Amino acid sequence: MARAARLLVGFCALALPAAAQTRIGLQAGVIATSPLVRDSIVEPLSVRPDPAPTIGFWLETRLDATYRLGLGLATAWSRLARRSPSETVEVVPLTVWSPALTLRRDLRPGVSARATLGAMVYDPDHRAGTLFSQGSPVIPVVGAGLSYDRSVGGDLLLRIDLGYDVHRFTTTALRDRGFSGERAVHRVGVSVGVSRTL
Amino acid sequence: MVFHWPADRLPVRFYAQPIGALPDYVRDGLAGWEAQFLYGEFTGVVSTDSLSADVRVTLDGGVPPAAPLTTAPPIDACDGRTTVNVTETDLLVSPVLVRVRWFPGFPASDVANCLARVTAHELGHALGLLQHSDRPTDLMFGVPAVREPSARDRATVQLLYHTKADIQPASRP
Repeated sequence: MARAARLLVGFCALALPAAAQTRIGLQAGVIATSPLVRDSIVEPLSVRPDPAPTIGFWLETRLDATYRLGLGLATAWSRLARRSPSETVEVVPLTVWSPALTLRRDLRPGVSARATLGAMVYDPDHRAGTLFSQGSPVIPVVGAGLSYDRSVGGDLLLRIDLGYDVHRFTTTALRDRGFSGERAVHRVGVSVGVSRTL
Repeated sequence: MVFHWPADRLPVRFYAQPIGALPDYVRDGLAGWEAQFLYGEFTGVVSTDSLSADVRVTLDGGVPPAAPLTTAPPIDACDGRTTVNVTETDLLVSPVLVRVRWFPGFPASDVANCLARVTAHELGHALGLLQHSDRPTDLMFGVPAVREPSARDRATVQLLYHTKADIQPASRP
């Protein structure tokens, strides 16, 4: 209960500008995604985003000596491609937005682990003729990661982050075609960022 | 003889003669066919440039009477024809020619409904469905009685677009 109260106080602290223990950060990296769909038409095929560059920003506030609470938004953009033994073809350019709430625990000086709860918002360049033709889903996502923070002078910290998240993917168009259930989609990413106190 | 538009020719350019509601019938027909795909196999755009079009859709018979589309029983108040020219080296020469024609003496709504159905049917030929279905519930039935592709049409066009083509379109000018 005490822990929950601290979490709530910490979340409120994010709304306060220039809080002493609140940091703002920017990050850039690359992320790889497992297939969104596996199907078979004449031959097996899968649909998967290409490895994608990502950028993001986050706010993070210290709750106590061990825990920090963060709020962030990242975006990744790439080509959604259809792959079969005979060819690889673009389906649609795809942007994915990932707002997330993060709870971070210090493990040792400079090293921390995080748990993430957020959403995946799929934003295709166009919808006609694609699995997003009847709408793009907003999907809950959970994740985890390891980070290493290092001072680079003054108030600036350099962060290297290795992360993983998973969500279950489907669309209305897929369901209408008889795809039952949802597919677990795994993402692994690495990023580099800098942060400073607000 | 297998033809479908390859990925590097997407979106396929369709010219619709600006007469009556023909451009709308072409857009609606294209949307209906695009909706049959999940993986970006086919997309089309309606262009006002007839010279660079991959498919040219024209209307014979003059300006048809204007009328909204209804769900009335199909009346054969029009017909259509698609011409595909293939060279001896299995190259498809653009443009594919789609001609629809309406008949006078029918109520305006019957003409409109027929033109919408037949245009969508002929666009199916332009996509590469070169033969007719033997089922009246399919849009690709010889004399179409429906305006949207059926589940069977969908299965056929998906199979087509995942089959290796032996006819390729000639390069765009």
